Amino acid sequence: MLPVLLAALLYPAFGAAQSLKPYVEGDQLHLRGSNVRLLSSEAKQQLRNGATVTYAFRVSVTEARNGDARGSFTYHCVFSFDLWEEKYKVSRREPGYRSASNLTQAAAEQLCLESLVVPATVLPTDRPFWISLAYEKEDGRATNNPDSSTSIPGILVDIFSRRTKDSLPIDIVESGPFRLADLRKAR
Amino acid sequence: MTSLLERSLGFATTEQLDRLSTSLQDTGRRYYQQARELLRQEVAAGSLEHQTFSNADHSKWPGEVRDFWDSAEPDQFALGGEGGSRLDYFVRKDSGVWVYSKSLGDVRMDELSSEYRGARKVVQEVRERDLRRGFLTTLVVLVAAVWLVSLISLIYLANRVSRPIQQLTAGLSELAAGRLETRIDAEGADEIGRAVAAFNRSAEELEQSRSRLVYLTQIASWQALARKMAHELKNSLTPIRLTVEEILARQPEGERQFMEQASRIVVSEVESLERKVRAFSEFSSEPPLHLGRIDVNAVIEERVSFLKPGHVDITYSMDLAANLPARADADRIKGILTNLLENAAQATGPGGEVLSLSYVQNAKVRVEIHDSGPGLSEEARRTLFEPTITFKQHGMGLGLSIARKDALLCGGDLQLVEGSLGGAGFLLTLPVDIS
Repeated sequence: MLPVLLAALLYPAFGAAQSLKPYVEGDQLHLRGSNVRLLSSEAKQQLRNGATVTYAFRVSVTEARNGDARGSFTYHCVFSFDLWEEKYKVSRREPGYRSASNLTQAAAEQLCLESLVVPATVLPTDRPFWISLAYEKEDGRATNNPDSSTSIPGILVDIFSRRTKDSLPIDIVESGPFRLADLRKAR
Repeated sequence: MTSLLERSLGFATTEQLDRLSTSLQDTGRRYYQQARELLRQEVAAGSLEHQTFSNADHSKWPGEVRDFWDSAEPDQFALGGEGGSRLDYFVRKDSGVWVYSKSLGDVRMDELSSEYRGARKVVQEVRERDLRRGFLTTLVVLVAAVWLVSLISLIYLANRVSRPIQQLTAGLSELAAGRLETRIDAEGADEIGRAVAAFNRSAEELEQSRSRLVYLTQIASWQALARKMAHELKNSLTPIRLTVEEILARQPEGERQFMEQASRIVVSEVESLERKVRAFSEFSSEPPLHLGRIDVNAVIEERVSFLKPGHVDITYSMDLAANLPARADADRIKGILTNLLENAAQATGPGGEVLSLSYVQNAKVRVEIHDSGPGLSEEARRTLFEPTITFKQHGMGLGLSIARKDALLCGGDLQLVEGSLGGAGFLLTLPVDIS
């Protein structure tokens, strides 16, 4: 009883754990996230400024937690924000997937995740496997001088005013073990 | 600095741009929502015509209609027309999609979006910089650079001004220590440069004066020695000669032939020694100096005419500048020129050439005698003016030392210079007569 009580008390403080809930449809494995929030506050601010934000994803299939990948697939989702409707739009950069607009943030994130597919051929049929999703926001921050100047003071101001850029974080969500047969049944 | 100020003022407007763009977006959003609500009310009131896209013609639907249909939403608004100047309202029906459209007038929402996006981009880029640090550091760097350049310039100027003075001071110390060969590299034509040039001239004159003084002192020593030697030899030679003549007179007739031959040899050697004694006597003699105005060109021409008959196969040429009055002892100058011209004639040999030049330079009358002979060896150049050294088959070799001594006593000098005819060259300098 006590552990349950502690977990209930600590849950709001640490947030819900992120996890992946894959499903197989046809000959492809699709991802669905539980508590996976792709868009960071910085990304949301950029979107509300009218800019587009691109996230890079790498989906890997391993036979053990933190094990060697049987297969890895890279995708990019491009998010944008409709200033007047206040709705999100998302599209996968790689061809073969349609974009969707007029979405809430959660719907846009979910749609992006579902567009990240793994061919069922790389999934082991007789052994459990893990799905690892690593994602990062591509750097869309200013790299150029906003007021390009060729004068020496201008160039010096540009140099000395640059902030040290923190490297953008890479988020990793890993879930498993899954069995292909169970995923087919679940769908 | 002006540029820095202009840039800082330019960045100060970013805050205004931030507020303005936010306000613009808020106003645009309100306008859009108002237009959307009005359109919805008009549709509800049935006062607006619609365009129908039936399921039967699904394949002909425009992309935005198809997107709406795929979204599964009951209705949806979207901007259309040029630059987003039209508001479309999509309504899902069983038979297909109904689309109601309403113009937004001159308001182009897409253009507004683009302008807002550009403004926010500028604001974001500026915010991603620490401009306060940028301006402050730039200011410090520029001030430091100006300070450094000024310091370097100051050091350079101070060094440029003080270095010649230091050199001059060091040169004077060297001169005071007796090192008269000291010279300073003269730079520029300013006061310092003129002072350095004056120092170098003074040092050169001092060095020449010392050299002359040393030479005259040496000559005086040699003269005293020659006088003593000539006196002693003369005292011994006369009794020797008389005794030999007496021995010859007292010889019997039978042995007279051998004694005559022996006494001739002794007398010949004694006569040779007597000639040398006379030469030493002449060298040591110091007749009084009679300085006066002389026409150097006339002396040269007269000497050449005097010597020419003795060297008919030698070409004498002259290049004499007009009006060269010098102050010197005429007899001694004649002796000097005779010595130089005779030496040149002997050195150049038959078919050779002797050139005489005269001109004025640096307030001195200069006479040059050049010959086309073989020139002088390095050893000869070094000891040329020392007495008792001979380079000729005849004579004692005292001529050049006497000539230089006489030139120095007249206030001039005699020097060896580069020969212009391939042989030796001598330069006689004499003071100009300014009376």
